[in-house]
Amino acid sequence: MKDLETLDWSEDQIDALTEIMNLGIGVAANSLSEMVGEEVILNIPKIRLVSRSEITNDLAEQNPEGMSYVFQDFNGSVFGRSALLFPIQKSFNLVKALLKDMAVDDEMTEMEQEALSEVGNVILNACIATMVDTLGLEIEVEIPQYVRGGPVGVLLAGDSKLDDSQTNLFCAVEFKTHESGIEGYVLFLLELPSVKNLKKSLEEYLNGILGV
Amino acid sequence: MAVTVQDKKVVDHLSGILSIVIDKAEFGSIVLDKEGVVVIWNQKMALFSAIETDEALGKTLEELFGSGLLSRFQNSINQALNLGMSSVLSHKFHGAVLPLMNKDDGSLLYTTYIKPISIEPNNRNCLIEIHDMTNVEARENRLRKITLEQQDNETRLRLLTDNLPAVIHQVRVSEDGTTEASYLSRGVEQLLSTDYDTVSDDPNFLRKKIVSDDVDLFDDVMTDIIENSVERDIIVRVTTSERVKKWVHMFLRGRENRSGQKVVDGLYLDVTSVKVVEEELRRLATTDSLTGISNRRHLMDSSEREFSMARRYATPLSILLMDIDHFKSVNDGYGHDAGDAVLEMFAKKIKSTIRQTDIFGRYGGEEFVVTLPHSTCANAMIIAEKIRKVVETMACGRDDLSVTVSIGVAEMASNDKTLDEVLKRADTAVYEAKNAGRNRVISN
Repeated sequence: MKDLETLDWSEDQIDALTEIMNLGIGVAANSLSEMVGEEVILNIPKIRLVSRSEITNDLAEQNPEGMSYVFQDFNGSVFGRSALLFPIQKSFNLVKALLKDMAVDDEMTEMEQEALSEVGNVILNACIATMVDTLGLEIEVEIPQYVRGGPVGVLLAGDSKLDDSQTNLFCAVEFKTHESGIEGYVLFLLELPSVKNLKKSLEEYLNGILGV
Repeated sequence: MAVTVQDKKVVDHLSGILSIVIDKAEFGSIVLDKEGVVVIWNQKMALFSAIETDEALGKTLEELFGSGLLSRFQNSINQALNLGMSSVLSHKFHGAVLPLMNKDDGSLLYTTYIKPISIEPNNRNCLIEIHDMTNVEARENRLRKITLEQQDNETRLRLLTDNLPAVIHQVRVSEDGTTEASYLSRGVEQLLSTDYDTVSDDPNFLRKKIVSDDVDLFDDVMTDIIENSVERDIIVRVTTSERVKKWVHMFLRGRENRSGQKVVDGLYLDVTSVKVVEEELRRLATTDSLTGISNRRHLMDSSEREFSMARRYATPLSILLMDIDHFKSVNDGYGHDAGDAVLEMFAKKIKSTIRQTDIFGRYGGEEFVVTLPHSTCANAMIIAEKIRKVVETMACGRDDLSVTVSIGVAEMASNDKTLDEVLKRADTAVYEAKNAGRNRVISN
């Protein structure tokens, strides 16, 4: 938390990041609509910059039975892990809501992994792509991996690339699908140098558009 | 996974190796350059697309497959080339991203991976991998089919068992003795006049309905079949929710299932109607059709039983032998219907005069017997006298008709070996009563 505070994000920067995420989610919604052949609406009610311990505790507390998640690691000028998380019982509902007639109930469980991987892929790619495109970042993103009902801590612990003591920023995006009210989280897990790079890119972007 | 190498020679060498690796790969692989032009098209890809490598190289995917490619596929390639994104397009959602076929049987289900790849420095390419999922999908389909068949069988079994005029019940027994219902057919609704859902989860629902007299029997049988894995059948009475008693024939079997757990299989038949017929047959076999009291055989059987008991426990026992006076003249003077009416009325009157535990039956013709357990001759005389008076004042259906009875009383003596000996003495006493003017009680 201390590091996060010293980074001193301005309201403009958080607004800009929210806007980028909204754009990304909009793109994702379009892609999903195209995939399932009907309108899919995704909303981002809020975006939070939090420390790892904070979000880990929050999510673990709200989801004691674990969560299902899709994650994609990325590296480049900003590197870390992006993830889409759902409470376990909601992951099934999301697939059902998104696929509607595409799958009969019998197939749902086996469809779940495929569906969530792909849904996660669409949403995460859209968010990252918008960010990369808007801020002119240079990164490469790996293919998605899906974990059904795992402890959140494992995902958020990251891998060796993400040093525990250094990793200190999560950008938590809570989103909802319009109709079914399914909530999920998009998380970005960045280590300190990446956070600084992201913040710097945001500053440049804001300066550009505000003409400062 | 970025491969970034600066030295041009090393790059050429590496891309050569990479090409070979990709060429021999188990999955179809395409590498596109920045402009979307095919730079690698492996053997598997040639097989899937029926487009030879030489033919594919240097062309774009639109040139090879025509425009109108799936936009998510197109977007994914653009994202990989321009922004470094990776994507997966599952065969579960995208029937055919490209028009590909399997050489063997034509069908090809595949998942498409799209990843950024850097073969040359500062030059990002796009790698497309086509992973054949036909076998995986076929296996999943087989599994799904098996699952559906199992569900089908289950449904058929349910249909069958639910329409049987019997209840099929299965209970699992844990090592600590707790039970858990694992199967119950719908027939239970009719058997117990209950709602299926209220009993289906309760392994002990039937025990709760068994009348208290039969519960011990049921418990003994259950313990036996569970402990010894045997089959037994019992008939118990149950009280249904309509407060109606029913007879249930239970066929119970204890066994161990494949995982070594104790299981009790039960088949319950409603045998109430059988029991009713049985009861009726017994009644018919033991009663005198005219008077509704015991017939001679049943009278003698019951009396013999009481005689044996009285001998064994040295308790008193007396017998009344009753003969209606001048009965022949009733029949002759008023007709057989009048005679029958007298007999009926007589039986009815006596029945209400004696104790419940006394045995009363028609001995033959106009002769009746009352066997009085625990009664001395003196007690029997009192009852006999009561009967005589009752008969004397008995209405016989006609104003001009009345009857009297002569009663011989005999008490069992310690040296009597058979009931006949007592009966014989009672018979002698009746004879004496007749000779003494009838309508009287004489003891032996």
